[in-house]
Amino acid sequence: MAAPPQKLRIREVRKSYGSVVALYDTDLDLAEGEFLTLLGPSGSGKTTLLMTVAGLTVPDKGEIWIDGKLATYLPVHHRDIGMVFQSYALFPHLTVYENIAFPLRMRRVPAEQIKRDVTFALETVRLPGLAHRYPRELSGGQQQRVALARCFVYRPSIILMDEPLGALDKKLRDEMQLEIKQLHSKLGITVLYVTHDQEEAMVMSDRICLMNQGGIEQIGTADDLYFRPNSLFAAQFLGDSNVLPVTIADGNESTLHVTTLAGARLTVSRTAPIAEGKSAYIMMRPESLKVLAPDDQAENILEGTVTDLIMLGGVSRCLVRLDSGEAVSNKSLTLAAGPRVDRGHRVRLGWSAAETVLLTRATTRNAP
Amino acid sequence: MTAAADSTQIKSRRKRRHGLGAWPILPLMLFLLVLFFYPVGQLLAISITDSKGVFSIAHYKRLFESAVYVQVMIITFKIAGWTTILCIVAGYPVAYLLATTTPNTRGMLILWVLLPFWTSFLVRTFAWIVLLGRNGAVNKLLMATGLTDAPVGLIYNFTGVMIGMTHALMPLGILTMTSVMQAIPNNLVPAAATLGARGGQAFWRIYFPLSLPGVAAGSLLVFITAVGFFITPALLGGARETMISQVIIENIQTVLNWGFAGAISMLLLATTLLVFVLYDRMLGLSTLAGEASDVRPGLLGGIGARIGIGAVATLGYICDRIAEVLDRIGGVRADRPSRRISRSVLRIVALLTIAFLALPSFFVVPISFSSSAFMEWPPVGFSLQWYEAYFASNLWIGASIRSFTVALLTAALATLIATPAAFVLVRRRLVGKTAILGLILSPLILPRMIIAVALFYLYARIGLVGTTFGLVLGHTVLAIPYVVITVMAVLKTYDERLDQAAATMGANSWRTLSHITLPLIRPGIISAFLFAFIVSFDELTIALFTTGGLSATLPKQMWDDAVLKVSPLLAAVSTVLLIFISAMILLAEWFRRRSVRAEA
Repeated sequence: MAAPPQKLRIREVRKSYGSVVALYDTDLDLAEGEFLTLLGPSGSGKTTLLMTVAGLTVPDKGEIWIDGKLATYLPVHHRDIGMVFQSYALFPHLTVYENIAFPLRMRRVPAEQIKRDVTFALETVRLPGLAHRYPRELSGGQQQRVALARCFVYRPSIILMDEPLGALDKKLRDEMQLEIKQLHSKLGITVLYVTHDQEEAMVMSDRICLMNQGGIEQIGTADDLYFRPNSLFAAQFLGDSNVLPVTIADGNESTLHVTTLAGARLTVSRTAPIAEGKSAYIMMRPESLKVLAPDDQAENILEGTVTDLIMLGGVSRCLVRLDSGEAVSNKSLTLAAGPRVDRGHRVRLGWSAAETVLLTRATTRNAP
Repeated sequence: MTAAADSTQIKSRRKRRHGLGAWPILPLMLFLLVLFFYPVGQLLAISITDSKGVFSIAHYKRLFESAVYVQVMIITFKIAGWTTILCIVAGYPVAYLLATTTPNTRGMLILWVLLPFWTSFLVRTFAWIVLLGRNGAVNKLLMATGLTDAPVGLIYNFTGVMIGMTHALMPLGILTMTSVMQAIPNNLVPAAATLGARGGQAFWRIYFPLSLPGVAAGSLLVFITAVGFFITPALLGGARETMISQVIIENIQTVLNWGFAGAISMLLLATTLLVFVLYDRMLGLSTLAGEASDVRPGLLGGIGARIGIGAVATLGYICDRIAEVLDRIGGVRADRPSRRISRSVLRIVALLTIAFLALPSFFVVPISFSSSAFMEWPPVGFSLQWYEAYFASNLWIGASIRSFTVALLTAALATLIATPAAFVLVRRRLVGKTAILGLILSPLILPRMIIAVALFYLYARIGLVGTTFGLVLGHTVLAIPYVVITVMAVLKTYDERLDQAAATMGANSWRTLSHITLPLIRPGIISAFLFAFIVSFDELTIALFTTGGLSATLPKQMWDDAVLKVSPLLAAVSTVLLIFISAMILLAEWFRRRSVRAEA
C-alpha cells in the first residue's frame, strides 16, 4: 500500500524574536487525513510553529510545503489553509450565513454553489436553523461550530486549530472534542491542532507532537508517549509518573540492573545500550505499582509508609513515602470491600521490569 | 426573627444602598443645576420674551428674516462640515495605526497627538499665522523653491480657516476613532486572510464596517465642536468666514442685545441637539464611549445595506487588483520574504499627519526671539525684547497670575466635588445612571459659547462679573466632565476586593477609603486635577465676557492683543505658555502611568 500523500512538510523552520529563539530548527510531516496535535507548556513553541504554517508569522529560515507546493513566504491568503482561532474570530457584523460564505466569496464561487455549500456546512455542524443569526446571538458551543463550518466549507488542504476549545467550560469542551473528532473522520480533513491540555491531545489525535523549549521533544501516538517516553520531560508531562534517580549497575542482553540512591537493586528491561556506572532515571506509572500482600512477590519491590489515601471515584491513590525518603504513588481501582491499607501502615510496592521505563536524558532537546 | 422583621431590615438596607448611598453626587448635581442648567434655561427664556418680559418670537423672526444671519448659518455649517470631512479622512489612517501598533509605540504617538490638543488654541492659531502669513514660513519656502513668484493667500480666507480648524479638531476625531478601533478584536483581519481574503478585501469588508461607529462618533464630536468655534475663523479667516459664535460675541460685546444673542445661542444649541438626536437614531450614543463595536443590524438594513456592502466589496476589489499588479511587479514568491508595502505607506501617511498636528506650535519659538516688530519668517536677528516686554508689563504678569490662581482654585473645586460623584457613578446602583452621566458630561458637549453667554447673563444680575470667584465657578462647570471621566476611568480598573479585604480585617468604610482606596487612586486624582487646571488655564470663552474688560486672564489678554495687532510679543507669551502647559501635561502623563503601574 502506498503511503498517503503528504499534506504538510516542514523543514528546518526557525523563528526568533530579537535574541529569544521561539522555535529552533524544526522538521515535521503531516499525512493526508491525519490529526496531529502540537502539545506542550506555554512558551514551548507550539503556537509559533502553527503560525508559521498559517503564514501569520514569518520564519527566519527553513521551508514549508503545503500540499506539495512551497509556501514558506507565501502571503496568508494564497495558502490553501483554514484556521480556527482561539476566540473563533467570527465577524461580528456578518450573519452566520455570511461568515461561512466569506471564504467562498473570496474564491469567487458562483452564488448557486455558495448557497449549496453553506447549507451543507450548516447541516454538518447541526445548525441548519441559525443561518441568519449574528454571532453574538449564539452560545459559545454554537459559535465554535460556526467557526468550524467556516473552515471546512472551502475544503482547504490543512485545517489549523489554535486551542479552539480553551474558552469553553469542561462539559462543553468534552462534547466538542468528540464532535471535532467525528468531523475529522467524516470529512477526511487534515488537522494540525494546538493545545496545552494533554487529555484533549490524547482524546483527539492520531499522533501527538510534544514540544518543549522551542523544539520537538517527541512525536508519536498517545500510546508511544505514555508508555515509551524517551525523556524525563515527556514522562512527566503526560500523565502521572513516579520517577527515581538511579545508577546503572550491570546487566545482560535483555535486562539491566540499577541501584537507587538508597542502594535498592531493581531490574529494568534493556531498550538501548548504556554504559555501567552511568546515572539515569527510572519511571513507573502509578497504576503499575501494586500494593503487595505479605507473601506476594514481584520483580521489583520497594518498601515504605502510607502518608495519604485519596479516593477519586473509580480509582484511588495511595501516597507512599519510601524508606529512602522519596515519595511515590500508586493508583488502583476503588474496591468497595477487600484488603485496605491505612495511613501510617507499612506497605510493599511491587512491579515488573517490563513496566519500568529507563530514562537516560532529562530532555531530548539539546537547546542551550 | 419573624419574616416581617426580616423584610423590613432588607428594605431599609436596600434604601440605604439606593437612596442615601448616592448622596456624594448631590453637591455636583446642585452645582451644575445652579451654574449650568439654570443659566442656560434663563437664556432660553430671554430669547422668547420681549423687553417687557412678554412671550414673543421677535428675536427668532429677525434671525431668519435677515439674509446676513442665514448666510452666517450656511457658512458655519459649510466650515464645520468640511472640517469634519478633513479631520476624519486624514485622521483615519492615524487612528488605524494607533489602534494596530504595539502598546509602547501607541503611548508615544498618542502623546504627540495629544500635545497640540492641550496646547492653547491661541498659541496654535498664532503658529499658523507665523506659518501661513504673506511673509510666513510656507510662502518663503514656496518662493525659495521657485514654485510661486508671489506670496500665495493662505490666510484670512477659507483655506486658512480649514487648516486651522482641522489642526485644532483632528486629535478629537483621532482619539474617538482609536478607542472604537481598539475594541475590534485583532484576530479578525488575520482570520479573513486565512479564509482567502487579500489585504484590500479584509480591510474593506471586515475592518472598515466594524470601525464605522468610531467614524460616526468622531464625526459627531468634531462637527458639534466646530459649529461653536470662533477663535480660528476670527484670526485665520476673512470677513466671509464669519461663524455663528462670532455673531454672538458681537451682539453681546458691542450692542448688548441679550435677547437676540440668546436666540442665536438657542439656534446653536438646537443644531447641536438635532445632530445628537440624528446620531442616536442611527447608531446609539453608547458608541461615543467606544463601548459597542457591533453595528446594529438595523442600521445597515434594507437598501442602504446593499449599497454599503456593494461599495465596500468594490473598494476591496479595486484595492486588491492594484495590489495584484504591484505583486506582479514586485514579485510575490514563496521562497523569499516579501516586503509589506501597504504597512509602510500607512506609516508614512500617519506620521506625516502627526507631524502636521505636533510641529506647527513650535514655530512660535524662533519668532519670539525676533528683533523685528512683525511676525515674519525667518526671524530677524536675535533679541529678548519681547520677553522683557512680557515680564515688565503689569498687564501681562497680572493676567498670568490671575490665570494661575483661577486654574488652581478651579482644579481644587472641580476635584473636590467631582471625585465623590465619580465614586457614586462607578460603585452605586443608581436609577437612570446613564442619564445622570449624560447631564454631568453635557458641559463638554454643549458649545462653550452658550455656557459663557448664559453665565454672563447670570453674573450681570448678581454682581459676579469681573470677579475671580465668578471665573472659578464658570471654569469649574467646564472642568467637571474631565475630572469625572478621569476618576471614573481609574475607579473602573480598581479592584474592589481590596476594599472588601480591608473590611474583613476590621476597617470601617471611612478608614478603608483613607487607608486603602485613596492612596491607590491618588495618581489618578492628581492627573484629574491637572487636567482641570489645564482646561481652566487655557479657557477663553467664559473669560471673554465675565472678566468684564478689567481683570483679564492670560488667554483673554492674548485675544485682546491679537484682535488689535499680532506681534512677536504674542509669540513670546505663547512660548512661555507652551513650555508651561507641556510641563503640566508631561506631569499628568507621568502620574497616569504611575497609577497604571500601581494597578499592574
